[in-house]
Amino acid sequence: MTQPIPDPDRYDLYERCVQSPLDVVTLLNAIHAGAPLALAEDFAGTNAVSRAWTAQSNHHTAVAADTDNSALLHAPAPARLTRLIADVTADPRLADHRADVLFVGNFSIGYLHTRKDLVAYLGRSRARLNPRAILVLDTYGGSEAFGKGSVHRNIPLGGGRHVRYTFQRRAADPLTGLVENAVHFRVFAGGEAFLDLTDAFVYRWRLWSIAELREALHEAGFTASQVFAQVPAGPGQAVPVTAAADLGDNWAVCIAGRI
Amino acid sequence: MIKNPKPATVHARLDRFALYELAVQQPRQSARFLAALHGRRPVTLGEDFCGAAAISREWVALSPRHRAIAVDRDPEPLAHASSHPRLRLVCKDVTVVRDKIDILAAFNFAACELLTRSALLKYLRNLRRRLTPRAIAAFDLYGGPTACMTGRQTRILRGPVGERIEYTWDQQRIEPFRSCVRNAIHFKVTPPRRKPYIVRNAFVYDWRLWSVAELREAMLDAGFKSTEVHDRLGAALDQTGRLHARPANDSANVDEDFMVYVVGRI
Repeated sequence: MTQPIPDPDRYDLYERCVQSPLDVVTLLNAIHAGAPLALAEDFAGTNAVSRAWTAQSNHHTAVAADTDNSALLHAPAPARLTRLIADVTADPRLADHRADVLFVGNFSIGYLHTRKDLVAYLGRSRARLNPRAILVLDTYGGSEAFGKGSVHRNIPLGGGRHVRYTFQRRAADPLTGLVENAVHFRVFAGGEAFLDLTDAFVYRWRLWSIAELREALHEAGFTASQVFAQVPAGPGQAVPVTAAADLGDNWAVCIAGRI
Repeated sequence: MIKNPKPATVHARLDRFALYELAVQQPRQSARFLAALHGRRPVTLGEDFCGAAAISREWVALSPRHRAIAVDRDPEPLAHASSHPRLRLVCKDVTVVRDKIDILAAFNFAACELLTRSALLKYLRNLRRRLTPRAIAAFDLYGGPTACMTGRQTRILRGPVGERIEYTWDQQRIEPFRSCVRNAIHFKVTPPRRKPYIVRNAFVYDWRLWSVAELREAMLDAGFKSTEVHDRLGAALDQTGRLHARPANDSANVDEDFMVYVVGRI
């Protein structure tokens, strides 16, 4: 008798539909261009990137921090991964874990709604870095970023199941720079929907522009910043994007600050 | 400030500055709007990056009490501003001007001439020192999906002697790395019973396209007490004909592609 396949929860579906932790680890290594060992992942959620990071070798360590303990503790922690239920904008324990790479992914920098908070966070983050370390964060933008709309993707889950993933840009306020987005999942088996997770995740972000983030990094003491495509060109390859034509009308990028 | 990389051909009837005022500006409405924003009895208007100082000219025409100080570092458009005993034209960098003012207007997206946040802050801090108690500063900005794309928009209007004027706004380049854009204005003028003439690249602008939120935060950092956003040049006239201005507190009132006025109070 076969075991029934357990129903996925919203965190499983998020990792399956949204994240590519191995690609992120490849990109972070390439941007650093040295031999980084210690990762810090802020606003880490299920800390998928940290888990992939520590799997690289017995010398790689990671510290994943988030205020949401249900997300943070969702997956078992591998060796050399420290998980901190912490407010990354204020928790003094973060300073005890120096990092070669500090990663803020999934547009989480948007949780900081004011420039004052952004610069203060970047300044504190800079103080957590080892020499030659990098801070990498991501953002998106373009003609559709402040408009309403949805994108859908169907992703196979195995066992005859698939999930319909929806990213909804629900509201945008050009007067404050704030947006509200939501992620929905609908899971199908044999063509029939059996799990509907509407509003699985709802985000209220400040949508920072590339220029704003780079200026804030500079103000926080980073000496240089570069823009990269979110997906690595290949192992060891991270070529900065410098031509607007390479971005297109709508884009998502990583921005790296160097100290 | 108005930039022109290649001086346009001067023609007998309408030069590029006259065409600009016809096609782009609403100086009388702007002057009345600024008075309504202030809400008391403002006397001195400052117009920074003033070009041909159209708003200042209307301001001094609105009341015999009114005075204006119009500043631009480019002497060419200033030379097109007609002189007036209560209008002072100053050919200087706007960040070194010290004259006190009750209202500051920097329209036609003039704040976008400042390409970095440090340059914007330097300007705003100097401006803050120029403002008298209860003064206001007003800037206009545009944004929305179309602002992030290259493309052209054309409008047709009529000149003073019936010329057909084709005005083209040309978003030539978008550069998201620095939030910079290059825009240009072209004119095609067809006088009655005469051959048309074209003024291509009459004005070319290399701007930082500030978001509303960025400008508001920078104003607060520079010492303004509060900011508000208006989506039009005044909301309503009362029975005495006086214009009233009401902020657009809810972004639902702002179009997806928008042009708004960001107002700072001290």
